[in-house]
Amino acid sequence: MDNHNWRYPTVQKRWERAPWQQQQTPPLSLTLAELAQYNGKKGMPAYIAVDGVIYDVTMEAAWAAASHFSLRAGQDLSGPYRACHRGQGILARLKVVGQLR
Amino acid sequence: MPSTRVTLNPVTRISGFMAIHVTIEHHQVTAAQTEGMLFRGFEQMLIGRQPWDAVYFTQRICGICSAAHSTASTLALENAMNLTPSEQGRYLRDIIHGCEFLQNHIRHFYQYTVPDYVRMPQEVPLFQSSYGDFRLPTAVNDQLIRHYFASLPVSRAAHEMIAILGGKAPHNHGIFVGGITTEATVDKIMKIRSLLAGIRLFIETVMIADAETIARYYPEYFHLGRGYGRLLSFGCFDNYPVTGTLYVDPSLYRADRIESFDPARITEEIEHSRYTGAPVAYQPLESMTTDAIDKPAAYSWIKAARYQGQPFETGPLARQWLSGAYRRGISAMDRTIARVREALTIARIIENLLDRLEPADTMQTAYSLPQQATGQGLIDTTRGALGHWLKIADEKLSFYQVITPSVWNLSSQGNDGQPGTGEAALIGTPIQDPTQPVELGRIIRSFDPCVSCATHVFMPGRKAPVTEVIVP
Amino acid sequence: MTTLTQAKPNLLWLELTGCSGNIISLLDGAHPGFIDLVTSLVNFRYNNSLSAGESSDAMDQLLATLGTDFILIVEGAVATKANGRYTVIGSVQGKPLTALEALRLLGAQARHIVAVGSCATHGGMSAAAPNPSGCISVQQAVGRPVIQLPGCPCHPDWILGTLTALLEHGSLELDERHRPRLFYGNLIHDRCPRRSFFDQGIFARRLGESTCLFKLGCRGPVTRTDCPTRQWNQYVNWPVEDNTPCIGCAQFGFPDQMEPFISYDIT
Ligand code: HEM
Ligand code: SF4
Repeated sequence: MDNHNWRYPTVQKRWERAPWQQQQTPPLSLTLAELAQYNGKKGMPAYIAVDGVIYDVTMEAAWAAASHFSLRAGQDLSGPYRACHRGQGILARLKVVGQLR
Repeated sequence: MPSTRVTLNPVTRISGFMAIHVTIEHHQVTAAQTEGMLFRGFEQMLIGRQPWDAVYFTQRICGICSAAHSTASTLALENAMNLTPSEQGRYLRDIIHGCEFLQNHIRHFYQYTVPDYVRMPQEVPLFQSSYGDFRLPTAVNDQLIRHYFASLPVSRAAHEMIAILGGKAPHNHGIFVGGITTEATVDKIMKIRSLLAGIRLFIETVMIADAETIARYYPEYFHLGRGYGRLLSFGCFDNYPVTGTLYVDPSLYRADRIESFDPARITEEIEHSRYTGAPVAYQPLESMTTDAIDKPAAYSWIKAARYQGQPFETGPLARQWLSGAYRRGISAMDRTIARVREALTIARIIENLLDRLEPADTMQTAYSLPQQATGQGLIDTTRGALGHWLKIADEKLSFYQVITPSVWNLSSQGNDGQPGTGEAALIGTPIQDPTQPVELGRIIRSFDPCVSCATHVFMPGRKAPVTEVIVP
Repeated sequence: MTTLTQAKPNLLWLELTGCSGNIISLLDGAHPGFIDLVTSLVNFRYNNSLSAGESSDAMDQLLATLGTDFILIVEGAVATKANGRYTVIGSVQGKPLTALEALRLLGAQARHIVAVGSCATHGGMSAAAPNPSGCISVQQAVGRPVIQLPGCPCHPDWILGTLTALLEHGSLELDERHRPRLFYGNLIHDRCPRRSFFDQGIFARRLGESTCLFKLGCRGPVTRTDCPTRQWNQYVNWPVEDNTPCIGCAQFGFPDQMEPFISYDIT
């Protein structure tokens, strides 16, 4: 198989089915400065923004310690994302939590 | 006056790259320089990194003694955090560190030292040499060749012991702040005991005898390569709150006396090495230097580590001497004998520590960092006294300094012009045949130099070192 | 000791800018191991840590290999600052031979070049910011494709398995980053024995816990090696089983892009 990033998109982890994960929260609307607080540390979830959309990577395996290839959560990472993952469809698997304002 | 300049480049069978430059007059070395030939700059790299990461990061300074660096950086972090590991934690960490002594000493003796005295099978290109002074009778020579190969599973087993408690080797994950990262469960301990028994048997029945055989056929090496005869140890397997000292306390030997050791008396001198950015003599926590390739009066890239301004030797011979285990003499051959004997000392200490282990829960907690702190971690490792000094600011490393054993043993001239320890060990050596200067490599290898370790202070080569013998 | 035949290719093992830990790791390999290398697999001619000859004897072995059929194993990165004078590996006719020169000289002629360890494959530790000696990878320095065996250090089986495949079959299957699929085919996270803890969201909060190390910073999810199944040092253990996170030592970008190695305050 050529693309080893391919996975069943529907597989759900047990923690994704946990009640606290399913709570419907209204979509967030954050400024860049507000996004910076969601750095994945000390109780804050880890959010990142790509092309205006904010994603939750708190439980994303590749984002251990709220960091990924020297990128840190709490930032707009559109540029770096395109540089490494353009066309890989990874974002479709991430949980959307809101929009950048 | 006939004067010959001889360069050995590279001095193989050491860790890293090194050259020896000597002047020989009337078959005697009258001047010597030791030159390290690679530089990586770990201290610069560490600035701004996460303090915890230093434990795994600094291991990569050296492939043969990586647990030494994880131990020293762990000690420095604990010192900065004001944290005292439990006695059990120290036992386990020291067991891992002790296994590295075994691995290193066995490999240094068989793979690095033996080919100096034993004619290796010449049909293998790796073992060919055009010169040498090989005196062993064929049967003895052949037996040592067999032991060269028989030692491989033994040194391997020492690394396997590290992996059992530390995940893997080289570059283990086990040594960390607070002790180690895994529990010493009975299955692990029984495995380690069994491996250790085999290693100890080999040391007792084969390795020590082999070193003594070599010593018998090359007795003049008990009189060569003495150096200053000043010995230093930062201590290891020492000062356990309950058990006390199992090996050697921080101490030093000079002018026929053993003295206590005071870390505040360590300095680095750079008058004769190619660095600026610091006063010519400074304490480890004071300054970090930058390279100055064309600095006048500098002749070497190796800094000079000094204690009260004096060069010292450090390593197995220093420890065996200071602990009273071996005091035959100070020479190239005594270093080798002390190294193999120390392997047995360490095997016994590990056995002792294993007996003291109690089943315990993990010794790890979720640590937090001080905002501002400084720490030092001084410990004797396979090659001798190793120091890590660090500063933390805003939860990041703001300063890092490493002084390795090889910076003591192979240091350059001090500000007062006194040669370094290795240089002093070469000066005065009679050379039988200046076109085949076997004595030089044998003396320098007896220190078990590690240029990889010293690379954070070593800098690139001088202009044009020569390989061939020049007779003016 | 078996006699050597001429048909065997020569082997050179260059140590360049690094810690010389890969040759130590090679000595940790058992079956096959160093003894097979010197007695049966190849004509092992030169390695700085192991060559019996010193100075010009060792250099002569290196240079006499030029023009023959040889495989070049390289550990360590390639220092380029000051024309490579940050790493000198010996001297030829009185002139220092830099790592950069030696590699270019030998790399142009080798039948295969195998980059062993993360310094050789992508600069690794030696190229860590601010890269004080200007280190580059072996592939960058020689300008031709090399077989990449990342890892800090490289596992002895990865080295000898690759070498054996080259000797017996002339090639082996590589991925798009020139790593043998045999050893680097799967993410650690996909074969990790702690994966069920990850899926259940049971995470260690300190080192030394026997659950998933994700929240401490585990790089298993972005690192491809067979560590979980092969394990290290006579196959007894590996970092995750030692209750510590994988630090991604075999991922391109190690160490800088794999940091932080250990974090405690993660949500
Ligand atoms: C917003 C930015 C980014 C996001 C959200 C992101 C997300 C991800 C995710 C979810 C994966 C796991 C893929 C899977 O399991 O199928 C992944 C893998 C990976 N990412 Fe990123 N990434 C980002 C930026 C980058 C950048 C800048 C780089 C380049 C340095 C990078 C390099 C990689 C690599 C090499 C892998 C795959 C490792 C492997 O499978 O061998 N990523 N990324
Ligand atoms: S320990 Fe690391 S590799 Fe294993 S399941 Fe957890 S995140 Fe994945």
